[in-house]
Formats: sequence, C-alpha cells, structure tokens
Amino acid sequence: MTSNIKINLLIDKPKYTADLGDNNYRVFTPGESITEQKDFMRGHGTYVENGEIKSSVVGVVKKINKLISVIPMKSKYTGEIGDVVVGRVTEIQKKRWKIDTNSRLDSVLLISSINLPGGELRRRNAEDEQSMRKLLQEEDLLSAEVQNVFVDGSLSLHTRSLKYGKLSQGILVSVSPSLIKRRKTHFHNLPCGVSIIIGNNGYVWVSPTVNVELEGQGGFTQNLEAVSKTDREMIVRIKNCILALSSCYVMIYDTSIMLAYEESLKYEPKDLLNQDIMYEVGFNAKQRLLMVNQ
Amino acid sequence: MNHELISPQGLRIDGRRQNELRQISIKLGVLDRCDGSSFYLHGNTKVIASISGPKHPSKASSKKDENFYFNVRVKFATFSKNGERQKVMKNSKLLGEFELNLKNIFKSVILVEKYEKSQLDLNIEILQTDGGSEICAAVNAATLALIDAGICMREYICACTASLTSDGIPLLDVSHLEEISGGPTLTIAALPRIGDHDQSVSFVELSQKFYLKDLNKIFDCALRGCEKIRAILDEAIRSNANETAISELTDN
Repeated sequence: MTSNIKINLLIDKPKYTADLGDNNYRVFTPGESITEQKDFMRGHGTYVENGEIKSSVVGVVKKINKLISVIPMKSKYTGEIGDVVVGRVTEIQKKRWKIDTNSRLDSVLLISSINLPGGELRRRNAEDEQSMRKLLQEEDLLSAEVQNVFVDGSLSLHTRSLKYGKLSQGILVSVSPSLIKRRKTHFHNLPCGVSIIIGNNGYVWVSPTVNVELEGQGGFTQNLEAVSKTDREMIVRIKNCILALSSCYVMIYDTSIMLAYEESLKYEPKDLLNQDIMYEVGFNAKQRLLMVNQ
Repeated sequence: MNHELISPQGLRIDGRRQNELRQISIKLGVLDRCDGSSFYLHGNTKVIASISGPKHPSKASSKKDENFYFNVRVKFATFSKNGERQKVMKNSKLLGEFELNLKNIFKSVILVEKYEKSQLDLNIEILQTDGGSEICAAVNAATLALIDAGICMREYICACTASLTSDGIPLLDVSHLEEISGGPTLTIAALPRIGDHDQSVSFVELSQKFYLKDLNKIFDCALRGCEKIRAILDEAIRSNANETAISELTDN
C-alpha cells in the first residue's frame, strides 16, 4: 500500500516574512544596554546593572512614561486581570482546582469562584467540596477569566459568568500567547457555523455553534450530541487556518481568522496541513490583513 | 601521531589560521513541541538543544531545598563519535559531571529570581562530535535555545576552547585531530560583552599541564574566541527576530 508522505526540510521553509519590510523597530538582545539615564524605571524583560537598564530577553522596547520594558518575541503567558483564558484541569485539591493555563505556574480556580449548579448565591458546604470531581475532572477543559494575579505570578481564575465554564466538544489549538491580540471580546460565533474562544494564554478553542438557550446553563453540563460531518470539517478547517496564521506570525483574532478562512476555501481541510499550502494561506491572509489595516 | 600542529606557512591541519574558528551555523526554533530550541553546528559537531518550561514543577522534581528546579539532560547519540558505535552513556559519572557543569554555568546567567517555584528543563542531544569540546557546543546551543524560549538572562554565555603548540603559539577552537595530537586543551565559558573588556568567566577546564607563563596567552586566546562566538550568536538571534517578528507586536 502506498500512501502520500511529504517530508519537509527546515531549509525549505520559505521566508515570506522577511520581504514584507516593516523592520523599522529595533530589536534588543540580552545584555544590551537600553539606557544609562537614572530616571527610568525597569519593567518586565529588563534588569539593572551598574545603573544601566539592560535587556534580558530578545524583543522590542516599550516605553510607558518612565517605565521601560522589553516585550519578548516568544514567551510563556503572563496573565493580567480580566483576561479570558482556556485551561486544562491538572489536579484537584481541597477547595480548589489546579489549571494549566500555559503560564509559568499552574493557576487556581477556587470552588468559591464558580457558579454552582442550582442557585447562584448558595453557600458552599462540605458536600460541595466532596463532589468537586463531578463538576470538573482532571484533564477537563474550561474557559475562565483571570480574577487576580498573585505575588509569585500565578493566577486565580473565576467562572462567575454564564459564558465561562466547562468546554464540551471541539478542538484545542495551542499557539504562542504573544500572537493573541487583546480585544473587547474573545468569544466569537463565526458566520461559518463555528464558535471560537480565543484565550489570551494562547489556547484557542474551536467548537460547533450551539443555540444560545442551550448554552446558558452556568456551564458544567456537557453537550454530547453528535456533530454533523460538515460541522466537523468546518471546525478542522478553522483549526488549520489558525495554525497557518501562527506559522506566518500573524496576530490571531476574528478578522485574521476569517481572512485565512476565505483564503483556505479553495483547498480541502486536510490539504491545509501541507506545509506549502499552509504558508500560502497564512501569507495571503497576512497581506490582505495589511491592506485592511491601512 | 606526530603532526605538526601548525605549518611553516602558519596554517593548521584543517587549513585554518591560528586564531580562526571553525564554521558555525545556527538555526532557531527547530522543534515545534517545546518552548525553545536550537540547532548548532560547529565544525563537525552537531547539537540540538531544547527548552521546556518554565512550567509548574512535576512532583518527581520537587526537592524542598531548591526554589528553582532546573534540570539538565544530555544525551549522546550512539553514532555520535568516530569509529565504532558507542554504547549509550546513561547515568555515568562523566555524563553526570557534564550535566552538573552545564547546570552551574546557566544558573549563573539566568535571572533565577523571576522563575521561583517553577521548573525549567534543558535537553541537549549531541548528534555528532568532533573533539572533546562537546561542552562548548552544548553551552552555545543551550544559550540559543534559552533565548529562543524567552527566558530572562543577564548575558549571552559562550564557550570556546584553546590549545598551545610546542612552540608556544596559542590555537583557537581545537578540533578532534588537534586534540589527540597532544597539546593541552583549555575550555572556558564566559560572558563576553561587545565593546568593553570586562568579562566574567563562569567555567574553566584544563586537560593537561603547561607552563604558567603561557596561561595568559592561552586564556586570552580562548576569551577572544568567546567574543567572536558571541557576535555570531547575536547576528543569528537578530536575523531570526526579524524573520519571526509579529507585525503588530509594536502597536499592541
């Protein structure tokens, strides 16, 4: 039996990004001095040595008044209050779940910061603590919002809104957190019948759109209805589009995903995994996005 | 073997000058499933380094005395050395020392206080070796991988070797052939800065005895080598940063 195997060499990776220009910002590398002036404050990605502020990562400098920070090209997720995240339960402890959110330390979701089924303002009792596993098990996926950032950098999450909660059927796509654009809304129902949750932590959840009435149940029930083949193909297509965008270093948000989706329509969903096609789709979307933004 | 390490014309066995490095070629971000990776080719030495983390420490690695869990694993491929197929070195003393050295070198340069309570794994795969300077290639490859992963570091850390001919001429970047021809080999890892001359050395290893008067010469030669390597790494990092730049990063 023969099958179609394509092996891609790293050398053949096209350098589409290089000729787009737009290199008018300066890249700082570790150990490089940013300023010797004393009246600046050091932010993330910098350190002070002999009175100089120096960069500790590779990235571009961002100045806010007197605060200098370097934004790295690639890093783990560092949370901010109000961010939408998608995470996976790693551990169940007393009164809390530990959630992997692609950050330096696992986040916590306290039992007091979720909506328990049946009555929002119910007191939490010992029985609830014992039945935590009924709500969320290890390896379950959920969407949540960052409630608080602890001193050590770990996050505290909450799901006190009907839009957050356990995720049932869909695909998780993991991209670099720096590719996610902070926007007003991170929940989108795309016109092609697919819903996406773009977590600020680089986890993107792609799922079939369900009716609003069914969804709003405080979200710890799973909808395990069969998903039709066309829906599944659409989900896979969107997933491959997101991967194409990420391989071309394009910001991921609703507009860019829709542009990539339109570019991908001439191919079968499975063909989008072919590296050449992936780059083509991503690159075309990038160019159209540049035109839209101008 | 009684090779002349340097010919009357001033050329070495492989045709290099006395202060010339072997060819270095670098690729960043070669692996998709880890947080940072690099492929580093130095002469005939080939190394892949990968970083996973910083992440929540796994239970097996949580020792209570440490605040930052930094694990280094080095693996030699069975086909990595000249001649016969090697047995895989596993938990041997030599490998343990290698790993410990790397761990100490990088602990001195990573801004550890930013990664309290978390775990960082550095995996190094040595695919092919040329000379006993695997640790140099491993250090340089790991520096690149750490930078690719966006780990906060004070400086680049670069490693280089130097040797000495019988006439007292220092040789930069020793190859396998030169190493077995019998000169002493000095391996150092340093934090070179372009422009100024303050350099801090974080690792020194010496394979043989030589006269003390030659020490400065050979040390200086190796340090110059580190500076050259730093320039090469810096260039590779910058061109990679420009290629992988996210167009809207600046105005986000």
